[in-house]
Amino acid sequence: MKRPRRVMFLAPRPYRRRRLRDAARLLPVFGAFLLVIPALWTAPGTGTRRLSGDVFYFFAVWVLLIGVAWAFARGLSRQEDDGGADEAEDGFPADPRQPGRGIGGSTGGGSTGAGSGGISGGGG
Amino acid sequence: MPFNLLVLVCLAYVIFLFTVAFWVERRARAGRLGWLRSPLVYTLSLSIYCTAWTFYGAVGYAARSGLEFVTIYLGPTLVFVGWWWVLRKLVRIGRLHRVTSIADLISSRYGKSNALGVIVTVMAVIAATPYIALQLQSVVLSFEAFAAATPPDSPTPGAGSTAIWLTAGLALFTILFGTRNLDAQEQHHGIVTAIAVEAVVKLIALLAVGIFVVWGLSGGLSGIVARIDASPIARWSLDPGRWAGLIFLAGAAVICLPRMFQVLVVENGDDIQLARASWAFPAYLMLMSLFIVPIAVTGLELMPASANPDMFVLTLPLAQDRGGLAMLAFLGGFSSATSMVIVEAIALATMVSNHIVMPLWLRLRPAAGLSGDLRGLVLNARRVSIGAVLAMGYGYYHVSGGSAALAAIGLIAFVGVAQFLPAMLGGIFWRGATRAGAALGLVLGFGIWVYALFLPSFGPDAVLSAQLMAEGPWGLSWLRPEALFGTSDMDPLIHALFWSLLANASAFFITSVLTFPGPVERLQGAAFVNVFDGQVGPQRWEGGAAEPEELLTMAQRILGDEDAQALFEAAARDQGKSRSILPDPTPAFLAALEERMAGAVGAATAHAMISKLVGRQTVTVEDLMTVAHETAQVLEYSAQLEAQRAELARSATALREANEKLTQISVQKDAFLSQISHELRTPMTSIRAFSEILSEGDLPPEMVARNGQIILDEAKRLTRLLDDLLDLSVLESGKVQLSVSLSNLREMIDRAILATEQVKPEKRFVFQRDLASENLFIRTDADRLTQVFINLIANARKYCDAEYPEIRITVRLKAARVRIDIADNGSGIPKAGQGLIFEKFSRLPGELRAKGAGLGLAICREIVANLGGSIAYLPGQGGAAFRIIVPLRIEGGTA
Amino acid sequence: MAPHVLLIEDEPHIAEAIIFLLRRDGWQVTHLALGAGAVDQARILAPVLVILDQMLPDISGLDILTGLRADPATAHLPVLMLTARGHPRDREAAVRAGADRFMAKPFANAEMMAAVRALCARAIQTDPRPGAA
Repeated sequence: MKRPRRVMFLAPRPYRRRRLRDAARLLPVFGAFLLVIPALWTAPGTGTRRLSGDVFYFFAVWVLLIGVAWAFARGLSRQEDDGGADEAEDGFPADPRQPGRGIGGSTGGGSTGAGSGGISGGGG
Repeated sequence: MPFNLLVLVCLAYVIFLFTVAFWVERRARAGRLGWLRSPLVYTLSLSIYCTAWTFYGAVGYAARSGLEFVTIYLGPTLVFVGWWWVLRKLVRIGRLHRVTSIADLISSRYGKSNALGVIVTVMAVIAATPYIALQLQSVVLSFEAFAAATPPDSPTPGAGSTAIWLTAGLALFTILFGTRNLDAQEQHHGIVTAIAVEAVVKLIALLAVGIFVVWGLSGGLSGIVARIDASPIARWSLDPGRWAGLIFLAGAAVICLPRMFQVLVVENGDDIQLARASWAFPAYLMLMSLFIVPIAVTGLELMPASANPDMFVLTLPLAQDRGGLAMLAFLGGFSSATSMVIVEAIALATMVSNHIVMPLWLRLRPAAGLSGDLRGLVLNARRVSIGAVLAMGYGYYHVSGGSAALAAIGLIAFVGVAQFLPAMLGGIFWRGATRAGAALGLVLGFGIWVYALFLPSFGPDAVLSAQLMAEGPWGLSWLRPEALFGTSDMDPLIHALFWSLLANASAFFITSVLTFPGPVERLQGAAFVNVFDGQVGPQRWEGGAAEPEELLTMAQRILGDEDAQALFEAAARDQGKSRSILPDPTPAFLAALEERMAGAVGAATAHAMISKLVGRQTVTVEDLMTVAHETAQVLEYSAQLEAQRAELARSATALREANEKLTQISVQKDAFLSQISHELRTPMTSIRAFSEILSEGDLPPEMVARNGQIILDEAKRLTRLLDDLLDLSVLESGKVQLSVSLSNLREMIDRAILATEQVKPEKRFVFQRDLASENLFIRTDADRLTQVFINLIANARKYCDAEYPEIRITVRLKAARVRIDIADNGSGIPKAGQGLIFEKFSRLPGELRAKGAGLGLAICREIVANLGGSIAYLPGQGGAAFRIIVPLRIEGGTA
Repeated sequence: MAPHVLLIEDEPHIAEAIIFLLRRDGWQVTHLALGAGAVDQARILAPVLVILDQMLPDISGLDILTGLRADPATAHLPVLMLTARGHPRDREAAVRAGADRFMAKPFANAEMMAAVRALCARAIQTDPRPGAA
């Protein structure tokens, strides 16, 4: 079930965030593609292919993936900090309490009362 | 390198790990975790993915199959850089639903079905046992590698005794730090930190060996490049099917392996940890694999052809007489093996105790949910399970005897646990997934794994006969274990992976589509799939059916007194109740309680225990439909509006409570005058009547004496009453002069017990005290506080109706406040009376008139309030119980 | 046969005083410290007078009085009600429930005995049963 109200057009900042998430989602697909490419290469020993070349290729891809993931993770965690106002559809920084359940937090000091009657325990 | 030194270093290292774990546990208990919860520790703890199989085996793998070994690390790398897809959701669900294991996740998602929990647990144990055996073997092999390099005259232990000592040591460590307490969140900070330390050790060890090989043995970068291109493994060829299959398999394993699930989901603290791990863990894996190829090619070139490539990491430095480096490499391998075994044992033990032992026990003894020490039971079940899991690993190692079959078991175990993938991913992304589908898929996939991969891995004629392997059962060649449906050209591993997952996923999907899920299943499905939507879920429990006191008793047995009371108190406060620690059993509260208990004993067991008290869950499909409609409407409200409503509801409750109390008080105030008149007139009547009789004279002397005595007694009673009233009015006005001094709590309690000995002296009371915890110096008015103790203990002596009466006094110091609980084991105070007992002249309904005037508890309350503390009735303790909280140091006063 | 009085009073010292006074005057006294079974006792003993404390630990004296009045065998019994609560409301309630005489504690012994005698005399005059005198 989707939220009944959904924003059609976003301000530049949330828009940027949304695109960053798209990119983060695409990263593993891109990585998988790069890692499977060598299967299309000619068999080793037949031409100029060398094992050291393969090693360098895989480690280069690896470092690239780590680097991009690092940049993405920084961007995505920063959103978490300024969280609350983000009304995006998958609401990463949303209220950490379990929907429909009461007490959050390890000391049980959270708030109770989120029933279907709509009494929800305070804002996030 | 003397062997004894090796053993010594090994022991020192283990003691160091114990110390680290112990220190962290102590900090965790004190609530000072700080950087220990940092993303770095989390990332390092994930490194238990790299077991001894990776530490030693990767080099062997590279020596045999070229670059194929990197697939084992590339799969997890893709999963982690793609954390936004799966891991983020998995971890969020794990935190919100307090998931304790992968079996708990699947059981909870599919309607808290314990049958699924059992299936997953059994599968995980079967797949993990050989894997644990593999770790034991690697440590034994590394010991032997050292022993081979030692002069023959020095004593070395046999492989059998090494393995048995190792298993026993690991069991001890795991039981000590893995079952210290029944945590509401099932997190083990001590172990996680120890594992982070081990992660650093194994990384440094492997890097050190690699640097030595590249710059020490091969003359730098150019030398090693030349050596790589000249080595026999340069002729490896990339098999596209196996390549892609292994990347996929490793990616699946990193989230499905019980131990990975434990550190990744269960021990996770927040999303920041995961975000950091998304690149840091791949970086760790990359560093671990960086020098694998150089070590392999150098080993192949320098070591004799008979040398086991699996041990190159260790034997290369040994052969070059680098004892220190070899020692480091040994510790690296040792770390890899031990950390894997420890976490695996914890993860499996949690599953076994929550999904097999607890449900069995609750079924065998249905009344047990309400009595007996469940925490002790759960912890003991875990301890026994840890022992059993490790014993099985050792048994497997002992039977298979270090055969070559073990070496391949890593990947075989991967395929086994990959069977969880369809049920898990389907469960968190697809609301249509049903319990029947998940169960059928799991069983079918696992069956194929056992038949096509696990049993054949023992070799022909070991379990499956050679004839069956070659021709299939009953001569049906399309059923040959390694060539199902005639696919004889496939690699056996990929063959098993393909067929098992295909059957698993198809059965899961088709059955899910065809069956209809039950209401609980649908609720859980929605809660899991829409975990980020913050939706309001429907109520699961019918409120009001349960007695809060019974719930508290049960919760205390699972969560412990402290946590359970804190949980109930917080909930009561949120409901606007100030006088009682017992909240109303609203649906929301029941759901919260269930969730909290699920963190300790798993969703299925927690659910079963609550339904025992509340009755069956009352959700029906119709409810779901109406609620779904309401939910859509409710969501229209802004968050602020909802918050205001909650606030309103809270103040309404508080108002109602205040109003009720006011009404009661006005009735009481009215009764007060009449009461006081009664209390004064009664002794006066006796005094007047006997005085008149005496004044008439001509009585026998013994009558005169008796009448005089009665007059005296009644006069004393009158004085006592007036004293109490006066005392109370002074206390209530707040103008009381406290004489504050530093006094020992134990002495005060001693005095109180002594002073009350004359109350019902015929009753033999047993006092349960912990003198050590009472040995506290409190800055307070000692006489006043003692008076409170006297009143409470005297009450207990008067009213406790147990056959063997006991009074339990517990003292706790918490945040500069002293908490004193005084409880007896009688029948307690009925719920209706609990709210009023502290009022003046209050008497319980149906109570026989006591000697006192009903002012004792009212005086207690006023004294404690004057001392800056509070006193409350403590329900659910199996008798009448009172909790006094006073500050450790009272300010001001006349010292 | 000495006239019989049923005393229902929970305070032991007050009961002792009343019993002493009555016995000295030649009455026979049966004392109950609790309200339970008081109506049955009254039926069995058939006393000439019931002295009833208004506030008993188990049953209210008013309830016992209502019980006595509801039973034909005891409906006619004269009842002297004692109370330690001085509120006029208590008096009204007692009268409404059918008490013949109401006395607040503390009382003068002479006043008490006078009330007992008066009530008994009236009861013996009006007692319809044969042989009651």
